[in-house]
Amino acid sequence: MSANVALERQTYAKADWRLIPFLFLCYILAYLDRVNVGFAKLQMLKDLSLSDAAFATGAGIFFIGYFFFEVPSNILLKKFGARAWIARIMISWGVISGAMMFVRGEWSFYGMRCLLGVAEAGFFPGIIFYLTLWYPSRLRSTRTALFVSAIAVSGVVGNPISGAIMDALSGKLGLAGWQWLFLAEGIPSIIVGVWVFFYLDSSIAEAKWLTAEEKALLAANLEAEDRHKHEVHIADAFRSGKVWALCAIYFTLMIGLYGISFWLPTIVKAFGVKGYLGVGLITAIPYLVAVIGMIFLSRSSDRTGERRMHYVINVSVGALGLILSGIFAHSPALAIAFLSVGTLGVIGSMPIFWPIPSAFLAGTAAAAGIGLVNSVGNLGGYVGPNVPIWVKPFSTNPSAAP
Amino acid sequence: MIAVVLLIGAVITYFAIPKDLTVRVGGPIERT
Repeated sequence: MSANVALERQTYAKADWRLIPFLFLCYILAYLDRVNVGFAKLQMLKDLSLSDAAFATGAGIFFIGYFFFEVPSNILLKKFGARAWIARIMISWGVISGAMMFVRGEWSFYGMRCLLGVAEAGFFPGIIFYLTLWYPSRLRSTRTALFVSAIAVSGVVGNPISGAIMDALSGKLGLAGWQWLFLAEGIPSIIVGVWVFFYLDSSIAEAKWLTAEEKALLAANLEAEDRHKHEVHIADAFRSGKVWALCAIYFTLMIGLYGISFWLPTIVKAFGVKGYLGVGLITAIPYLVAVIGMIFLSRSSDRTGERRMHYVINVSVGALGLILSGIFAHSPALAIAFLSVGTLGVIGSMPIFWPIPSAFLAGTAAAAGIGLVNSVGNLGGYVGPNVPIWVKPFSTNPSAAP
Repeated sequence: MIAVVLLIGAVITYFAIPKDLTVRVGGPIERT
């Protein structure tokens, strides 16, 4: 191994340890604040006399705010810099997530969820943009894949914590468990948001943890890539059939992800599980299976470089798992086992999906296309939680969706 | 219903994404 290659490996390993675990933590909090309403639902619907349909609308309306403010947020990110803007995003969503405890009825619920989406808009593209300041594209896709796998970890860690908070703090200081849940899970985002401002560096030149030689290497790699870059036009992305195909694929995946995430606590509670901690621990099982399965899947996909069939097979097996979970809804153990297969099918496919756009979209459509795929795809987050409501009139089986 | 949506996504992936699209870890993007 030449000295240069060794230095490159060592430098990227250093950057990985500095950046990836921290960004991973940020995304865990983002996802937790986005879906903890599925847990809060177990109490707040009764307290506020909300219907399941109102819950689904409120859960999904997050993605409407998210969709409309994604582009403005991206523009402001370029203006203020990634570090300051990511910190702003995290602090504001932490405040709004905490303020969800003041929801008093249907319309304030919709309003706060929409505001949460507005606050969080631009976070994912902001992180992707931040990674472009450090890694050339050939190294970025695997970092992105690692970053999105935080969703599964968020489910493993977040669900039992949500359950424990609701069990332990219900009624304390005159607040309901769901109010404590929003408050307790909003505060960490505010703290980490402030931490972002001091921890992340805006550029390679600012990084005090790198030697001059390491900085020069990272900068040279990015400059070498910049020389081959073309100017990006958003219109190129809109004209590309490939971009719309990827939007459609990601849209279906997001329907699956949020259909499961928002309703899983309700499904598990319906099995007769006692206590919110019990619900939290059992809802963590499908995510734990997803984490373990995802490691094997990603390794296999990375080793072979093959993405397409890994995605097709994993999603199809996941779909079969969801169908079987409905058929075996009368047997909680089997239903959870099949829901775990379904969760792996959805969440495990995310790290496989994200390297595809950068490889599939060559040239000018690539950068703008990836943003469009994320924006349009996330609209599936509005559809996902509403599917069980829309399907209900046509089905006598409460587990028909998922 | 969600299962059906996921299967539609799998079908789109199968037909829209080229079979020879290869993404190697840490290496350049290549078409074999």
